[in-house]
Amino acid sequence: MNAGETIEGVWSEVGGGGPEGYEAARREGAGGARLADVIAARRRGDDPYAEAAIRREALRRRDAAEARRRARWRLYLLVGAFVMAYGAVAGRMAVIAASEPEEPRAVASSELFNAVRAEITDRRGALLATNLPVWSLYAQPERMVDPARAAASLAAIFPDLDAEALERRFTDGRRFLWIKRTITPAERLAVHDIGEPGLEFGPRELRVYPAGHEAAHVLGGAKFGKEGVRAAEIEGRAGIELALDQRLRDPARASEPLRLSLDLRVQRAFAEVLREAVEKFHAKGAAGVLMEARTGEVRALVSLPDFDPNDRPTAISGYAGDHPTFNRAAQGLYELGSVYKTFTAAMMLESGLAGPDTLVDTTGPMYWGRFRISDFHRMPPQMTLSDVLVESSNTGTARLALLAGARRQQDFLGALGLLEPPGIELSEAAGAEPLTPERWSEISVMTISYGHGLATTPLHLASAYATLVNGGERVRPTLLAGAGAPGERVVSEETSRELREMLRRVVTEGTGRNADVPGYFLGGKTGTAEKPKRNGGGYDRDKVIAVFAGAFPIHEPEYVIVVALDEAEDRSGPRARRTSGWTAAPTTKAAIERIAPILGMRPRLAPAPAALAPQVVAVGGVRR
Amino acid sequence: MRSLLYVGALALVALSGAWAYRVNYATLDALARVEALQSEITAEREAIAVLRAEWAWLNRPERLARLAAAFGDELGLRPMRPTDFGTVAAVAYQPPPPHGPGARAEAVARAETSDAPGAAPAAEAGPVRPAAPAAPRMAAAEPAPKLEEMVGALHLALGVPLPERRPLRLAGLE
Repeated sequence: MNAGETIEGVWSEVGGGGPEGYEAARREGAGGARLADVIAARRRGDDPYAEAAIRREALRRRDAAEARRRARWRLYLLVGAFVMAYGAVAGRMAVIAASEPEEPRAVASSELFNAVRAEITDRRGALLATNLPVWSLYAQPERMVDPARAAASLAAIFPDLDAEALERRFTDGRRFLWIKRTITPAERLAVHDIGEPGLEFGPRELRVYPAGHEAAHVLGGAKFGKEGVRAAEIEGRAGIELALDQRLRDPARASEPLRLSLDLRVQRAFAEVLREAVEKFHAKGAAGVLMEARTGEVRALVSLPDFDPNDRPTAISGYAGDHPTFNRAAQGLYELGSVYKTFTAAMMLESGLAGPDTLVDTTGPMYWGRFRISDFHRMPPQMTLSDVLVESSNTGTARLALLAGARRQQDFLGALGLLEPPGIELSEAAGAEPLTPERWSEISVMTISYGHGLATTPLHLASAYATLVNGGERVRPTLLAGAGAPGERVVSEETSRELREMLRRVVTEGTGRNADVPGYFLGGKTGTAEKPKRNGGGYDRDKVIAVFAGAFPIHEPEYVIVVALDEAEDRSGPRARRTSGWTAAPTTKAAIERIAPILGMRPRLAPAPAALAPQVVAVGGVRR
Repeated sequence: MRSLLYVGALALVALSGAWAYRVNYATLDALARVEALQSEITAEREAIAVLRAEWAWLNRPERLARLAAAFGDELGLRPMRPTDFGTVAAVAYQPPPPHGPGARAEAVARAETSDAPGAAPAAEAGPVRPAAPAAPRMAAAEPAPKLEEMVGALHLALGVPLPERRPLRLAGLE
């Protein structure tokens, strides 16, 4: 305080002067402002409360801004949360709208194994094997109300079931029992009408072969593997169903049918011709192979007698080689006889040891130790290599093979694939390893040169002939369409051409005269091989396998055909004739006459090379 | 103004609730329909598989051969032979049908190649005024050609002998 001031005087100054000021100041106080500031402001003459008010105002504004900021932040947070929530919902809706619709799975299988199997078609799309939805019938005896009546009703519906045996099985305490593995819809209705709760049905698929007997050996057959109540696995039993079982069962490729190289029409025509031949010549069986000469794709593979793959016979009685399920074309190993002379001739031409006009000593018979090699009929003392093939001389071929030697012969036959299994997609073919002599002695060299001593399948023959006539590139047989491709070179083009000319001469002048088809320029070789005696010790003179192996049109071969007849006899003349020229050769001619028009091959007037042939269209179709 | 905003907001909430309810049940309906359709599709696929198998079974070579042997005479069926190939040049063009579209061109060609002098201008006038030359033709009122006559003409053109008319034997229909 200054001198001369009293407390009352100061307070009255604060209040605005005078005793009223003193009262006001006493009532209201300093007004939130500092006393010293108030006094100083009053002394100056300013309104002290104004400054305080300004200051208060500033403070208040600051606090309000602070609060607003905080509130805004909270608002943003809330808005953000809502936006995210609605955004998530909208985004999910957009995603669902833009996604692909799902297809229902055809097989709703909850079993532990997958139960899909791909279809099999021929090269033109004809269905050879497919799956049919059927029902299986099983019983749960615990839930049965009247087992006796059920057993009696079932025996009435299914004649092969025995009512008493069924009743025993229903009542012996077991909890599950298969009654029938496949039933027709009519049978299912009849069983359903029995009204027995313990009899249940389970869906499964059955493998069916709509083509019937055709291509039976190729397809093989199928059976059920693991069987569940809601599905059953289908397994292949033989043929291509077993060989390509994994591919057929692969779920990734189940919707893609397996396309075979077979042509069902050609298969049927070939089989018909062979059936007629078996009947006409009283044969035990027949085998036929039609193969593309360049690629090795098998157009037809026939083995007679055959069976129905829908009902493949399980029991094998008697000699396995005569059973209908035995594949004579790809599984049966036979000594095929004179058709091997082609291989000997090719070997001589390729090695340069002889040419088509080289003279060969054909005086017979030949003796080698205790073995005697003679010809079918008298031959001149010397013949050209070409004539040795045309007239089918055993002695000439044996002498030529001796010139070449065992090593060369073995290598050559191996290069043609005659010493290993065929490699075709059939389960039986894997076991068809050719029977070779234990020791490849010189007598083996001689006998193998004309086809005895080495047992192979007709399929081996077809692929070896294809290799030789297509220009010399190795051909491996295949049953898959589009899978064939030429392999490594085995003989030169020159050798192939010379060989083709010789094979044509066989058909025009030699033992294959009865196989000549006008317009198709068939070239090939006949073979008549005595079958070895079943109990060993020599050959059976009266039982022969008659073979014809050839290619047409011979100058630019497209197809190789092999026909083999087991114990065929031509009884049309005074004496029974068994040679191939009277049995297999006319069968080949009939086969080509049926097959070539189906394949769209026109008969030609002259053997013009394909490049110069005019493009004419067959009436009713396009040249395939 | 403010209360209008409040009312508006409340109305919006009510509307969105109604919309959500409708969409939810519409979705459930759609899902149920999808399931029904999928089971229908599966059933149809099975039926297709069975029909394909049946078709292949009915077309098996052995059955077709049996049918061809039974009806081969009537239908003229026999296995193909190498002599069944021909060339397109050997096929003769059949004459156009008498009252068909080719008849006009043929008449024009015939008129142009004939020696009658009056025929040529008449033929030229033909395309300009089609009504006039057509009228006398129609006035002649020729009867329509019989099926047998047309078939005979076709076969003669192709150089193939006329088939005998035989009743077709259909199993089960008498």
